[in-house]
Amino acid sequence: MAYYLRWMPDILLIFLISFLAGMLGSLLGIGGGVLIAPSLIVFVHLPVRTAVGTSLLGVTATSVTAAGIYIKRKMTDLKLALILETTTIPGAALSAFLASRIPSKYIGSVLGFVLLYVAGNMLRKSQAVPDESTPGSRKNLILAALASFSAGFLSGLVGIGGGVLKTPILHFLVGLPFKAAAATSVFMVGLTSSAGAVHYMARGDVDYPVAAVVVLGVIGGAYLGTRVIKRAAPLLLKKIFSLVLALMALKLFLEALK
Amino acid sequence: MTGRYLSRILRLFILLSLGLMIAGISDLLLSGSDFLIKMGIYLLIFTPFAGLLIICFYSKIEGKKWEFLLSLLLLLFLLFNFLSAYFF
Repeated sequence: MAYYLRWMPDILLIFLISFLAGMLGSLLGIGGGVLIAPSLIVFVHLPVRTAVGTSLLGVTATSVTAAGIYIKRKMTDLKLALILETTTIPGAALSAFLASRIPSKYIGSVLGFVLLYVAGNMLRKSQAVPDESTPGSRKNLILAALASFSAGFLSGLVGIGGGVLKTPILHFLVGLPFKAAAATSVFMVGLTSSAGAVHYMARGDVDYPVAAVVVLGVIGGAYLGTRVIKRAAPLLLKKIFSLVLALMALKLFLEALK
Repeated sequence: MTGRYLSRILRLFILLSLGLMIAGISDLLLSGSDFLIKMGIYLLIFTPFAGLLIICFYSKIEGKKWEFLLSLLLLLFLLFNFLSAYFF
């Protein structure tokens, strides 16, 4: 017991970061792994692989918590999620196959520009398009399926979560309102992250006590996020999402410069 | 009907998982065993699979052909993924 009490300040910090990641994840339809994995490396000194495996469990918990509530509120387009997820997975599988042959560094910077473009577009269009009142039109479904395939491919290659790409695809290409796009994306993220987490668990790259703290934090945060999203203005959510995309782009550029 | 049961299953599983985690942390601090935490994590990882099973089952009952086929395809992928992780 004394061993774990020594780590108590770090564990509390991890809990708070996980709580924030869960809240952002359920609000924006992203997994939140981008926050969890680095904090596990910095504060708990976990090896990179173990941190990624443990954060994937947190992403799954965010997704399952938020999806259960969004589906009850009928915010999630299940059929669309199933269609796009069946194209994302082959993309991710192809990237795993080709990972060693493609210089992911340069692809990371290309993806960084894509994320910046999406962030700018989201801010610009959010001023003009009336949101939430327009029902999902399901336009450009084939284009969205192709984009999902690319999202799976790129995210697998660069090592970022698919959520940052899935929400814009659902919002811009398919025409779902932002909140519905986030709700559908968070359901899709759970399927992908659980598939990834199984491999880390099988290899023993998961720290179970730390995972328990992360899961407790993200469940609390995700639950709060589902309460906040009801009252949050779509414009504010889009601004936060654009900021997250810009930070992700910055991270990809910095990695490309290394 | 699919959405209602799917939502219930997801919420039930996350609640059970949460209970196991809290009990597991207490158990870890008192006796040093992480058995309950592992059970909670395995339940959490199984939850999306259980969700797809629910979609597959109720979409078949409701006659939603595309949802049934797509969920079946994803189920098979997750099953293959699990087998490849642990056995190949």
